[in-house]
Amino acid sequence: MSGEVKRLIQELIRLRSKGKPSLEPFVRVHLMLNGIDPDQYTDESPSEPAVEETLRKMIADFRGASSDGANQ
Amino acid sequence: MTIKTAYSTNPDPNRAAQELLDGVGRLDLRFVAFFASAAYAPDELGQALAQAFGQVPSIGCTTAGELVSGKMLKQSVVLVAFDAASLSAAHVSLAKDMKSEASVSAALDALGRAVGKPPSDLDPDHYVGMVLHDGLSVAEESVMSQLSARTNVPFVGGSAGDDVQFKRTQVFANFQPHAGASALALLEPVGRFTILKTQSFEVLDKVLEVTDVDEATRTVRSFNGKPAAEEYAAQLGISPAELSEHFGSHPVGLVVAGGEPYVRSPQRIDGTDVVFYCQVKAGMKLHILQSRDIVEQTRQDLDAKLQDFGPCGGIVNFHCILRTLELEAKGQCDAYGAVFERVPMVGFSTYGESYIGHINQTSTMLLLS
Repeated sequence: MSGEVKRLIQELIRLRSKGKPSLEPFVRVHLMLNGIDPDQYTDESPSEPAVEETLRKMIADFRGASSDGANQ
Repeated sequence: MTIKTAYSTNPDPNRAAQELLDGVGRLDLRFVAFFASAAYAPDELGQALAQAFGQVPSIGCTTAGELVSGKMLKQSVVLVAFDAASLSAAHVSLAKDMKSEASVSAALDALGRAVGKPPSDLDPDHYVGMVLHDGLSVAEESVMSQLSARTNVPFVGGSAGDDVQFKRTQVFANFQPHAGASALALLEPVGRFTILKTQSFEVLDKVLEVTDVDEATRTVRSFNGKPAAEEYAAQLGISPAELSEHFGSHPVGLVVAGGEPYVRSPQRIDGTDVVFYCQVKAGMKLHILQSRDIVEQTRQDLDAKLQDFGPCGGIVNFHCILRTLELEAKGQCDAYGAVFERVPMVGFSTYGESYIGHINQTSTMLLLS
């Protein structure tokens, strides 16, 4: 699905930032060191299943390590 | 607040431990970190330090050289001690097998349990992590990726060295030595803290896109669709035979927002492949970097950080061995040490630094008020 990578990146940043914009650079560097450049993806970017799988795992890992993970 | 540093060049572990204890004095200790030459037998040093410091939580590692305020040392052990006025608490855990995701997760979860919160609920404004890895594991990226994926608390640290022998590196958790492991500490500073990552490079407008790579062995087979060593050399305007001579002055960097590079240092050429000291990923666009003066850049970056941060009670400095080798070659070790004369500092020459990921050719520092 077009734009899915960007949507997942935004979901991850929103999940991790928890209202603290200062955390966004930390998440973006973490993504870049894992080979995902957030700035490369737009709403029109084609689907990249491998990247999407990596991002879903990151989201699941963070939710799994959160006390309120079941509700997110 | 009291952050005390001490060092010993005494080759006898028991005498060295006593000198370190005498050096920091009688404090209500909350945590100690120590960095020791591989010349010390790890078991003997660990026992001696445990006898001297008792049940104080601690992490440590072997090194490729030690740093203490104003000095770059060899064949020594350096230590930083934090009292109750500087840390309200510190918790230590061990990832016994760096290559096991379960082992790393368990170590991080143990830290969370120690403070009664899951790792992702830990507030990075109140906690900071310190991490030391076996420097010959080729597994630091995996550990750092997991830590950074599961908590917003930044972990800063480095990879253990062995005086540039590349045979055996060790970490210590609560004075017990381990190989193939990462030692983690979760610190609760009483006052302010910050992290400074400084590197001495200009980012050039020459880009190498990783088009074929064996990530597990940190080996790039092709840049820009061409044999890696040939393309790297072509971008520099030199022959492939000359390339390795330029690795120190022209590593590559992953440039993030704001133009800051996360340096990836090439280690050697293998045929037409280039082997790195840290992992690069397929599709990464890496800029070639041009070295600047380490001492001057470090001084500028530290000055700017201290101006913003205010009075600093102590610095733990994770300093790349490649920078140490360059400083030694240029006769600048004393000048580098002098940059830190104004602040209590300990650190060591690493086989790679840790901050969000595994990086090279930086001084990555934890500063506490």
